[in-house]
Amino acid sequence: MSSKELTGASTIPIILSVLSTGENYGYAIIKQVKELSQGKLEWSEPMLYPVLHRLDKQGLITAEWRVLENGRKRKYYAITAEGRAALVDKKQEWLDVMATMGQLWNLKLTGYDV
Amino acid sequence: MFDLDAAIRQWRRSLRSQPAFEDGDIEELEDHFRSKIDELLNEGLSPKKAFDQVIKEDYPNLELLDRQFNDERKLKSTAFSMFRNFIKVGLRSIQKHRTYSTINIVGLTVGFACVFGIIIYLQQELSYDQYHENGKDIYRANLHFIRASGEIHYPIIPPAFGPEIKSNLAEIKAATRLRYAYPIIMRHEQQSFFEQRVFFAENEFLQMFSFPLLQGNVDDVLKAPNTIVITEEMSKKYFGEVSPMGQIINYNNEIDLQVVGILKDIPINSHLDFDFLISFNTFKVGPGGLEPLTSWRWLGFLTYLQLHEGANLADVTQKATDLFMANNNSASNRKVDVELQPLNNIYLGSGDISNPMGGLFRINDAENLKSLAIVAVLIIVIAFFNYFNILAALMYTRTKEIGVRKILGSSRLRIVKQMLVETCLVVIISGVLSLGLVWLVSGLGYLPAMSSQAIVWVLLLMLGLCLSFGMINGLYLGTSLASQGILSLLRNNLVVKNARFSLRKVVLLVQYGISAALIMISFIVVNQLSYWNKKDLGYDQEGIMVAGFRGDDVQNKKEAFRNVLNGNSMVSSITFGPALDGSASGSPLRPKEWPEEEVVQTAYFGVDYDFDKVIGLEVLEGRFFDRAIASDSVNAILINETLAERLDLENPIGKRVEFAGMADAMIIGIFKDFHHQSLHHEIAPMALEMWLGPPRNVLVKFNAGVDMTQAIRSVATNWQEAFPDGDFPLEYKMLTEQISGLYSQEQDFATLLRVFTGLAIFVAILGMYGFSAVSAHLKIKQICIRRVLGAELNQVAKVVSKDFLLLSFLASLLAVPVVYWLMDQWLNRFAYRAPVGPEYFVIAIVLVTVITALTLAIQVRKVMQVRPARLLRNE
Repeated sequence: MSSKELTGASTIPIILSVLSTGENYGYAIIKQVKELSQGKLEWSEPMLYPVLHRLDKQGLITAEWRVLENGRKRKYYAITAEGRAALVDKKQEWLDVMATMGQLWNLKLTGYDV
Repeated sequence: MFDLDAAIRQWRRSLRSQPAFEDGDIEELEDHFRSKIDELLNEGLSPKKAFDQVIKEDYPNLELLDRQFNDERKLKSTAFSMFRNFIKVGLRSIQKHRTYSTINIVGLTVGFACVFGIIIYLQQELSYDQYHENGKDIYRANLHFIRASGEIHYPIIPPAFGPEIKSNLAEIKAATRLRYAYPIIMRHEQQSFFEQRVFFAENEFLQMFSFPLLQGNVDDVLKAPNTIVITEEMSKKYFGEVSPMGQIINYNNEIDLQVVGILKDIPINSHLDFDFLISFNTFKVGPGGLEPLTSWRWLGFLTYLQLHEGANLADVTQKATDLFMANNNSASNRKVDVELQPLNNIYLGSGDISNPMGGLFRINDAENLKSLAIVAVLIIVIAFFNYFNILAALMYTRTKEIGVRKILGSSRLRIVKQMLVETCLVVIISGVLSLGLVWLVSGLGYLPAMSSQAIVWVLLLMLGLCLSFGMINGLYLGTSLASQGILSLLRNNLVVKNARFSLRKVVLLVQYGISAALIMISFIVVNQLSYWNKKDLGYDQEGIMVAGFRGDDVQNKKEAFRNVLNGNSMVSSITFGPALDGSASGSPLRPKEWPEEEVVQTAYFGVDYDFDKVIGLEVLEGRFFDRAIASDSVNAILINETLAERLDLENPIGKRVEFAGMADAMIIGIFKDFHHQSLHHEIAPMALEMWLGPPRNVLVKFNAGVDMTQAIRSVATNWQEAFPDGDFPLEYKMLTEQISGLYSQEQDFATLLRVFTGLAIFVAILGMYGFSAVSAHLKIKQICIRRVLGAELNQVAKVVSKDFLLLSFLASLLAVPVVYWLMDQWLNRFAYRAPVGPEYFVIAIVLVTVITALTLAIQVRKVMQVRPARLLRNE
């Protein structure tokens, strides 16, 4: 489990990235992050929902209620054009950090492609 | 069996008590929560295990989430967010106590709506004639006769008065006369209508009053003879979209009048109501008229004066009286004053002033308005007490919630604030709903349209009511809850003073008392009305049709029509004569044997042969007019008992008198008194003379037992035969309708009173229902224990209803003397009042008690349905 600060800093780019592959809802986002990180990133509700709401307010993502077949209501989030632009910036910031660390620690990063 | 859905609902409810969660947040979390459970269920866990596991994992998360949400929102102003929280919790509490909230809101809404409705009505009534620019300087000249028989204020005065006072007194800026036209036929080309609101007016009239002209020049309209000004509505009626200016309207098949102006429609709040103004110099005294237009004796003209600013009213009044006495030679023997009645006072201040022609101008009784205002106040009191009572009772069901809040560190102030916001919310919701209701009702036409002034009044009042209702109740509730100890709150052991005279009992007493009083009052008012309708007027009203008989050459058509109707098998008799609408002519009467200056002012009808048969007039001495005796049509009169008594002549039959333009009339009979006026007035001296001039009305008496609809249809057919060209429409009323029209003011008042009483009682019942429900709920444990111990229905009923029945009975009793005194005052204003028997009071008391008992019965039934074992097990 990563430290609180790192989690805090990484939540937004991760959410935006997940949503950039398609719209999604809270619980599924948490599950997807858990799977991708092989269980290393296990988010709880307090980490996710306030951030989703804030991003919604900032206009980076939008939210929409859907009624499921069984009658339950579910709130879906989708990334906006503005969100995609922000993601490009975030991605660049992280790549810069990772490249620097990679050089310092002499690691080979896979999938390094800007 | 574990009910997953129920468990989730409960979990969800627990979230609602966290102020930071918005409704949307809770739904999102619920979905999250359910998704997690679904997953565990898929893994094969039982619903209970899955639920428990998720709860355990999630509990710390939720708390954190709550804080996070709160932090997010803290960024905004804290005072605002606190206020928002209050409102949110308040709305949720309204939802939680749904039944009581509904009772409160419905009760307050109806109460407020009544009050707003009354205010809008009162506002209209008080706004009469207030819009005339010169209004404060305009007076109507009335004559005040003081006679042995009583005082009479007369608003129509001689035609010479206006011009003379204008030229004689420097204080008079302008004077203008109005002469009413009897209902007549107006015709434009092929269209003709029967018109009732027609005046002859001078140019000064439109200069003095602010009745705006849409077309035409206010400086010179109505100056030329044979010109007419019409209202917009009449312009549409006669000319459609075509401009009426310069067009011709024919007056009564006599005169062609040229339209020279269009008036904006006369507003409802004007004591003068007219559709047509014909130039005054068109008015001619017809052949056989008694007096010229320079007369000082002919009471037939409304006269309005405009004084110069700063003129001394008392001074002018004295000078006007002097002028009148100097010119009216017949006045030397009696006391006559000229009175100047301010324009603003005419509509509500004309109670003592006779209103000729069955209502020449609009008036209302200020007393009725006062009564309505009192009813409004009573309704406010009921609505307030209701709300107070239910809230105070509900307080006991909210102790746990408050106790928990206190443990969580809520300060007293915070609790008081919360209660304040809650009560204000309920009151404001009701206020807004009631405004909507009033708007709707007024849109449907059951209330006067809201003027901008009324809207301001209503909004101000609503604000005041909301603030005071919300504040008082909220403060009371908040402080009394906040002052209780935490332990007693949690144990639900409030320190309840069960004193013999608790505040709540007094409140209930007042409420019951007001409801009972309102019921009694409406009974008595309705009783008086039906008394008027039923009282023997001294003549027949049933089966008599009154139709206007006017138009071209009526004199000649009269006999033809009489002959046609005499052939109608449904008609028993027919006569031409007065409309019996409360109006009559008046003239001094002097027996020849009396000294020169002594007279009796006498009302009279000009009648035709058979008048006695049609209305069933009883001639006590002498005889009625007879076709066979020629002199009857020249100089014979009949007098009523009252006049005979007043004259006190020995052998009155055959005595000679001066009367109504006849220098030498003979009394040929004495008839039994009948009420030619409404029963507001006592029977006055009265006489009948033969009138052979053009008739104004025809009265048709049908045979007893005929079908009225058919009978009227047959007369309509006869009418067609007599007047085939159709320019003389049949306009009729049944005499019974005409007579009940004389009480329209009281009828309107009674209707209003009944509606508002009904609503007030509805509000009171609601409150009683709510209050008894809460108190039954509070006693539920006691009742269950009693039932376990074998108590029967009647004992349970006793526990539930003990206080209420006694209180309602006592309250109704207390209301009796108050109502009796009030209604005595009201009834004393009428000459003929119905006796007020004890039955109305008894019925009202029984009614209140029965309603109370029924409300309680519902509660008892509810309480009996609770299974004691189940309830007690929970404890």
